[in-house]
Amino acid sequence: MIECPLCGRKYPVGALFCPECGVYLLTGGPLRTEPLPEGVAAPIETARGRAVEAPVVPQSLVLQVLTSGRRITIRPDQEVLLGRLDVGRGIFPQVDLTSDGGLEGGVSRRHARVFYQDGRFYVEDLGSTNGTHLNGTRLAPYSPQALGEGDEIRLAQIPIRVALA
Amino acid sequence: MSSHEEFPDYYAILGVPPTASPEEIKQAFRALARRVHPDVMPGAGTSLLFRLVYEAYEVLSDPERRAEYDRQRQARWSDSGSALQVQLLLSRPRLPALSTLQILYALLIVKMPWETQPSRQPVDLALVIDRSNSMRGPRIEQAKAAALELAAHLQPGDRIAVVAFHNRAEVIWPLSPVEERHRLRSRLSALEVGGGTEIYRGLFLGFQELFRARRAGASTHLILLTDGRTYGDEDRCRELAEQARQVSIGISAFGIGEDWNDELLDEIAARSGGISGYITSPEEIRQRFLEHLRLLEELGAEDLRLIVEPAEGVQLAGLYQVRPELRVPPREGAGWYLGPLHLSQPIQVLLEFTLPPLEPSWREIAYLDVRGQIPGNPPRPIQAQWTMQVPVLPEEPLTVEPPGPLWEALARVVIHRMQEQAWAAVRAGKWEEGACRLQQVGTRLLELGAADLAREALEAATRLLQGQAVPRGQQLALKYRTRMLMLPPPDLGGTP
Repeated sequence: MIECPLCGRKYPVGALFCPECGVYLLTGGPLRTEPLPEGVAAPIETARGRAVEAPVVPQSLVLQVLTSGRRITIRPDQEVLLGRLDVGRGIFPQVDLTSDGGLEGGVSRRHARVFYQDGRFYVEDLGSTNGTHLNGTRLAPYSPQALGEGDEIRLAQIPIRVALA
Repeated sequence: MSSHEEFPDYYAILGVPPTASPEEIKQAFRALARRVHPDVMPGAGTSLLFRLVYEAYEVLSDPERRAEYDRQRQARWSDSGSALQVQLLLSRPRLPALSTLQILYALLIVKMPWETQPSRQPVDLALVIDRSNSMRGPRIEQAKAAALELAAHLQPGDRIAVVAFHNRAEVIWPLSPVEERHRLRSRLSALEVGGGTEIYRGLFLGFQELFRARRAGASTHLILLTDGRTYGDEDRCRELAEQARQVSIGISAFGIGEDWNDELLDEIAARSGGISGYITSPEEIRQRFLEHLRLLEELGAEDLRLIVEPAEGVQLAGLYQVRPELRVPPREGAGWYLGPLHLSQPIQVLLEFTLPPLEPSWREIAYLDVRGQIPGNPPRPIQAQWTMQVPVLPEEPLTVEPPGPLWEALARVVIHRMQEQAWAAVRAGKWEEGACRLQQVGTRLLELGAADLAREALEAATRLLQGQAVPRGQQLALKYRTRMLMLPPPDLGGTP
């Protein structure tokens, strides 16, 4: 079975697109996603006011979960689901926020995804219950927004700081 | 298994393209032989598979035998002399043996090379123009100018007719040789607007003009231009389109402005083998008519029909014509009507098969049959057949990128279908669902690099979420531009 990374519907082997959300299953699906190296990035100064020169084309994106201090590095060739692990429902997000207080903080199992396109990283809310906020503004579901240095994403109540490297 | 004669596709067995070099063939054989050798993989089917793989290698690695095999293979795909070229791309070159269902996509590409067109066939053209009140001003003036220009671009031996309609229809210019066109201008200048829109009357009169003076060997076509909705005669329009198909008269239908029935026009075109389109401004009429004429002039074959017979246990889960225009082709008995084949525009059909649990074997998926005729006096029938077969191996599912054209066709079909569902939801009053689907359409279009179109879709979604209706013009533009969308090849991404 192939699972759509966006809606979680399952399709027989050989399916290439999710007809419901139009996602290309070969690159977006679990078939191609690699496990994420966590906490490998060098510490990055993200305090506002201090000029951190972001490279023109970012090499990677670092997410710092502010409730736990955990850092996650995302490369341009990765597409990452943020949410909560639920083995029973077959939901395996690459970034599982359970240990960061995700359940109490209202994070959905499939909450948001982060992906790279044409030189920028984007965050897209996947129709989560409690919403995804970018710098205080709630995002409309399924409309990706570009991420910049020092942005703050909030998944329900879990704040995450964005840094480009 | 079907009764069709076995003809193994050695290239498919080795998983190489027919253009593969001897070295590629050798490599493919070695890699495959290691996996399917009965010593390595004892069990049902592998000895047969190994025999086939070996046989394929024996034939393809010998230049003489390969040349002979290529000749036979080509002959099966095309009638001798007809030069209909058919190509079949599969989403996966081989399948894993699994106890669950699997999906396999195939893209059928039918074309005729330029050098096979014997000579330009004469063109018989009927122009059916809406002259209702709403056409007043630039629309009718541009339509008249376009008619004259069309006549100017026809060649000796061609014929043209002009019909105008509102609540009634009249022949402005009977079907006559293009050499007499100098008098067409004065006839057209007397044309006035008025009244409502009754498409059937216009269509019928145009059809009659073409039909009663039909001649063998001509490319016969009707072009409809309207800016209005017709009421109560939609079924008769559809029936007329069916009749037109039976006698090989294609109807192409263009809508201008924002208040015309796109679904009806699409259907008329699909049923008769024409095309349909949205003309956004009066100035565009001329260009679209001339483009259409060029298409008619390079007619390679007409009345192409496709028959698909899935093998036992296999289901045909979906079939879309992807080019020259994205649509579900009309059903005809056991087959589908694909319309004319133009030399510059190959026909593409996307097939989706659901396969039952498979054992290691050489598995037949379906039998395909394409037939049509080359216009002429008398017309020459052409036909191509193929038995689609794939090796099933005892191995893990392959995750290979599908061939580029197949990926593109599938991406277009998926987006097109999502968009249709969005508008259907909006029509049913489910605005929120429609908005959600349009957002998804927009996101996918963005990912595919069609930024302008993506913005339009997201904008429409936002309007819906704010409780506003989407303007009809935006809806039509989105629909027709998505249908004509050309996608860049897939971003094979992955490793940087």
